[in-house]
Amino acid sequence: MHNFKQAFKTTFCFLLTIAVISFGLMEFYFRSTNYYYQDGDIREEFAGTIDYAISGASHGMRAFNAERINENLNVSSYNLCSSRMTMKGRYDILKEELARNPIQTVVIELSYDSMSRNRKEEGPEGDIYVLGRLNGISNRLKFFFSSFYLSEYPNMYYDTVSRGCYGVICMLTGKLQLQQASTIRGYFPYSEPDQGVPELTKELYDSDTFDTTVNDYNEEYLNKTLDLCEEYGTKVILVTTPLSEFTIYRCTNLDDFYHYYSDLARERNIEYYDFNLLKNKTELFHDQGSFYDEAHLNNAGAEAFSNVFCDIMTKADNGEDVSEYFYSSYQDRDEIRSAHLVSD
Amino acid sequence: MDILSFGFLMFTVLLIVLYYAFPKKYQWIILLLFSMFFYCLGGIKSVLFILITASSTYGAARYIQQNNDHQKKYIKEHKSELSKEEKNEFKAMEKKKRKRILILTLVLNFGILCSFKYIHFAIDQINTIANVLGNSGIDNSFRWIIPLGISFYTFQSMGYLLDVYWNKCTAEKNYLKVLLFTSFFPQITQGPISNFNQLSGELFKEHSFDYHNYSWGAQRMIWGFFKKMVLANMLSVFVQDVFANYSQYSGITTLIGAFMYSAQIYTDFSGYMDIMCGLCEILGIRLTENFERPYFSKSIAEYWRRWHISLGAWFKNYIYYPMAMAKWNQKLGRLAKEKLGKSFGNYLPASVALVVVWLATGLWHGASWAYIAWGGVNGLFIIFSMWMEHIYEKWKKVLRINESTWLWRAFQTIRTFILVTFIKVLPEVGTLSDGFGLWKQVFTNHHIPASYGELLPFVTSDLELLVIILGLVLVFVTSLIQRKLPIRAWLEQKTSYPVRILIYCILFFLIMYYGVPASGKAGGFMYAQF
Repeated sequence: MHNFKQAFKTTFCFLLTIAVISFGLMEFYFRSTNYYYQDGDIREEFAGTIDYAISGASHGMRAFNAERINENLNVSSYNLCSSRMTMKGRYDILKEELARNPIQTVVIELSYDSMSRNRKEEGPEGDIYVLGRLNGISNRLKFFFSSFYLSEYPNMYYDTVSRGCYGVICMLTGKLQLQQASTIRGYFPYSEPDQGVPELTKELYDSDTFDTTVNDYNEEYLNKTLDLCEEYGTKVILVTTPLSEFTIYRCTNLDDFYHYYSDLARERNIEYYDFNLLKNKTELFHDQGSFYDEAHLNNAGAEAFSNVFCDIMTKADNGEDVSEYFYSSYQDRDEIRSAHLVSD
Repeated sequence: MDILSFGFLMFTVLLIVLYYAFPKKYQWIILLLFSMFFYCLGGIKSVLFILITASSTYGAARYIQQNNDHQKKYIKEHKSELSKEEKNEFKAMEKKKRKRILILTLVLNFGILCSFKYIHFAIDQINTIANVLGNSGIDNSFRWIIPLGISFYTFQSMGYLLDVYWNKCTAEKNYLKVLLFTSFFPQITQGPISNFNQLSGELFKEHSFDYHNYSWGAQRMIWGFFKKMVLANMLSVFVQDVFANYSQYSGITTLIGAFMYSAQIYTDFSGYMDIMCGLCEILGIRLTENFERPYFSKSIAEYWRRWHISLGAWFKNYIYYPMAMAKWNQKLGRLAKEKLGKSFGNYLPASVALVVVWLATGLWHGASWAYIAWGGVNGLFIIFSMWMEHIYEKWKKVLRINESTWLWRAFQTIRTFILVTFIKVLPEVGTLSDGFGLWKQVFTNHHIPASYGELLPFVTSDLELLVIILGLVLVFVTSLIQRKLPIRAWLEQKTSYPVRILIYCILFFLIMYYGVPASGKAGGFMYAQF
């Protein structure tokens, strides 16, 4: 028994020391500039002042220029979007902000992949970014244990600890850069100058089309998000940001998502706008001039979109029927366009 | 199952827990179940071959033992009835039966081993001859999956069978115990090759949990992971670059690469041994040590008594001694003594046995002319040293060399290390001509690199190089300390408990940070290929 007790004591001491050092390294990692949208401290600074929030994934992160929105709508907005954010990640970050800000309006960015994203197949990338965005060990631990699969724990441990070690080495060699604010109230512009959609993507026009389906898990968290906003009495606007014509061409069931979101919006008595169905979409958001790649607006595209978005919101708030600016579906859009081409 | 994986750690933890949770009399059964599970993960089809080896070894050993016992009993019972000639005739007849079974079993098991390991080499040679004669060769495109650890478990089992034949040990009656001896997972991929008396005494004994074994075993495992994952795997990236591009590098850069290879193979192989010996230590089982500070050797012969000790012992016990003492070899020695002098008579039988041993050792390591040449070169050095020993003694007397001085010992050690390195790299660069090409590059390219970058062009990160250098210094210092005292005992004497915990935590994080990514680039253990 004495042998077992001693062995247990030694193992416990060893693991405890590992755990303490690991937490230190992980915390170091989350506080150093290992990736660009670690905005936990920035959001803390804005706490209590945000009345307009945008929640979404990378489409939203690149599309909603918070400064433009603030100017045009006279609000204090914050873009809560980040890459590959799962519906659960969006829910958790929004919940944090609703609890400490007088948010009047929440814009939820939804694309075809928002609801079809399969967390298990895609892996934890989006959730890793959320971990970095959260402040405090307890918040991160809570999110970690509620979002990551057991099979991902060893890789996650290795990933964060080794990045923490890297941060320590950078610090010791004088190469460490502390966390920098590279976002504008959460909006993350591209650092390189705008270019058109790459040549390679043009070649892919002849590639296979695809369709995707709504994932139950994502649906669950979307409804939870809407319930949460209802709880806080917050106005919700669902938005699909512009995609390149190339992506619209390749995704063969965008109408399924459009109808899904429209039906949801109708049920919940909230607004939904799919900016791909804007009648002048191709003039406003040309593939070459407005897109960084097939699904994300570039800086000029974000500027244009934010202005258009604010314009539509202002008109809608003033009681104008903005539906006349939009096609009623992708099928409708295609039919009307084809008819124009034929007549031309 | 990859030893360097989280899965193996979980496997180990479960084994330790169950091993001590169950009643002691079932401990060896737990080991058997885990060994078979470990083996099955390597491929269910391979299980068939290990079962063939275990079953044939068990059956043959039992037959030989029973035949031997029957012979003794018969002689004893009919002592007064039988004449001396009748007794000898009976013994010869029974011995013939035993020998037949022994040979059949050896042919079966070595036949399986040779088929898997050497079939392609044999076909290549046949095709070479066929091409010379203008004939089409045999199709050599098929590929057989070599059963995991076949070299190791075949040698171990056949050693046991020979020990039973030579009455050095008694045949085990329990088939499952023989199966465990054959398939014991810590040894199966890279040894050590144990003899039955030694290993069975450890495996089938009842072990109580002992904190000292647990603590020392765990420390040894962490040290083994550090040597393999951090040092060996990081060195592997550099060494692969040098071996692939030596023709473009200067002689001195190539030489540095060769020395790095020596460090890599040592840390790789001894790292594995530390992991497995550490695990066995936790279980209260003492495995045969396979390394004894080999790079501190003062001669090639001594080196091979310190490197892969169990393989050397196997070849010594089962090939060298039987050959050296064989009647035909002794006769050859007497003939040489008559015709060529006393020295020839003394050394020739040993030399003949050594040639066979070293060619076989080369072939065991790999089915290629490069490995055969490697074995041959090792053998030549040892034979040459043996023949020249008395001449060296005379030279040392004339030159008044004091062998006890540290300078002379340092010279011997460094000389041996350099020789061993050159021999080692011969089969590792690629083909035999690549090996000679590397030697040629070292000796003929006298370009002095003008900068650090030119000297070490394969180094992509200075920090990684620093970690490797510090790690190797640590291994060297540890080896120095271990000449007098086990390093773990030294740590207990010189450091406090919290400091020891911290040391192993630092090793853990070094393994995490440097070892895990390096393992992805470097692949598995080097000796697992044999």
